[in-house]
Amino acid sequence: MPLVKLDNVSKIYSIENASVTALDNITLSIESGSFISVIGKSGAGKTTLLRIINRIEKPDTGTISYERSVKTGTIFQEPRLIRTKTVEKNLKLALCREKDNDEKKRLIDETLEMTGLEHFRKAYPFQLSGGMAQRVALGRALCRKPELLLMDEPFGSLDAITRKNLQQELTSIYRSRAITIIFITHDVTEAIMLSERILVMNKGRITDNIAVDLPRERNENDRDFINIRKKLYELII
Amino acid sequence: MNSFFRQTVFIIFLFALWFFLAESGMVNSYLVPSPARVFEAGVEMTVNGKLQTNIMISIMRVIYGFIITASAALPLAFIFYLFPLLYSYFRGFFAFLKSIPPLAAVPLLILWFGIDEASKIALIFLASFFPVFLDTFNGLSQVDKKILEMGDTLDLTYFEKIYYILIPEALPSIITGLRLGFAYCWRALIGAEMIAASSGLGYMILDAEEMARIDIVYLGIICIGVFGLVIEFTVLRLVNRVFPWMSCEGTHK
Ligand SMILES: Nc1ncnc2c1ncn2[C@@H]1O[C@H](COP(=O)(O)OP(=O)(O)O)[C@@H](O)[C@H]1O
Ligand SMILES: [Mg+2]
Repeated sequence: MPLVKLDNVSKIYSIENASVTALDNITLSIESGSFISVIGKSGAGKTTLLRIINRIEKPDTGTISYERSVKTGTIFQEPRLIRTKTVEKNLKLALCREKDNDEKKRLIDETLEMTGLEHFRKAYPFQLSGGMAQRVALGRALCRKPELLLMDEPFGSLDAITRKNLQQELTSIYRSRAITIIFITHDVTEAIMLSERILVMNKGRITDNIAVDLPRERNENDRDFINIRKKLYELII
Repeated sequence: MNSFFRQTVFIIFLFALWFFLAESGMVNSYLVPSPARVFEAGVEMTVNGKLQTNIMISIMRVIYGFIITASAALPLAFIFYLFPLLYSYFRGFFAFLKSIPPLAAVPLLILWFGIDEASKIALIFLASFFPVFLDTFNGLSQVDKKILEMGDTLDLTYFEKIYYILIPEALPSIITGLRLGFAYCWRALIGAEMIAASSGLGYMILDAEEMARIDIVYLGIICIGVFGLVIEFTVLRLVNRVFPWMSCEGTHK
């Protein structure tokens, strides 16, 4: 049984008197352990899909079902850090239920190391660069060991180098943990680089579902890589 | 030249000008006594202890008034933020109260609370309640819905979101409100002490006027300004030291 299952899910927003179909009859199964990217033009419904999976939003019609109670971690396009808390305290927020203080400390230390933020433990968000802030957000989502990681264009606002580094980190996290990832991006190369499967969205529908059978480490100059990219560009338009 | 230095230069210039005008006899020395005479008055009032006593009394009144303001305005702002329906009943009435200058309520305050401490504290409360209440309320209202949503994605409960997200995010506005509130308290105090009091800086000024001691009037005014300034400056420094994020207010990340 899949980890998450959407059956005929639709979501319609009304703006003034007009109505916008953000999701149009989506049926989708997310298998445990998969790394799925969702690509599509802006307004295609990617964020809405993620918000429904996240249960921030309820579908208007259709159903969403979880195999069991799944612990999720979410990374938004913006870091969404609390401006009066240090990096460490921002991470602690995700662990505020953890009663065991030693375990809490261990998880925080581990997360700071993983995200390369050891020296910024006591820094406040205003003292961080955009890339560092997004790393904190990544750490916050990961430190409570989610089984399902939901990412909405998380690296969209970062420079190319930071972006590459975070992509590598994400890949190694995926390969070292039992984790399911849904990753939204408008960057086709990023989707091919990271994921096992790519969903193409268009006007609220999933129009294509492409498997990426490339070995890791992937290289964007490989012929197979380029072929998939070419195909995806055609599908998005 | 840093900004502090330039500000000091201007104040020294003003003093020099004042000194020159008064000593040269170009202005009536009764209306504008020389800084030297004001300084002598300061020495006199310090030696007989009246200056320190009055300053302390004024400061204590401000502190009491401020504590009462904070303990009423902060909880009310939270309650009204969390129960918007409740606030909708009070909104109009609050707007009405807010537009009344506290001094206009003095006759009533004296009638209700007498001419002792209570009426002064009440006046201070009236003068500082709204700045604190409104800054706190607006601070809470302006907390980004997106950041609360982030709390949802961490499966936080309603109360966890209030404690771990809402309050920390609104803290800069709350602190600004409290700081402004304190400044309002200080200003209202002098008004209160001029109406009915037998002690405090405001009283000292009024009393000196009756005794035709204009030098002491000047002394009192300078003390009010200096203490207001020193308190404000110290609080600001302290706040920026303890809360580094306060010095970058407006930077939202
Ligand atoms: N809260 C909302 N209210 C009204 N319309 C919305 C809302 N959220 C999304 N939409 C609309 O739904 C459509 C899909 O939006 P979204 O899921 O954000 O697309 P994407 O993330 O692919 O850019 C858009 O046309 C957008 O205007
Ligand atoms: Mg989006």
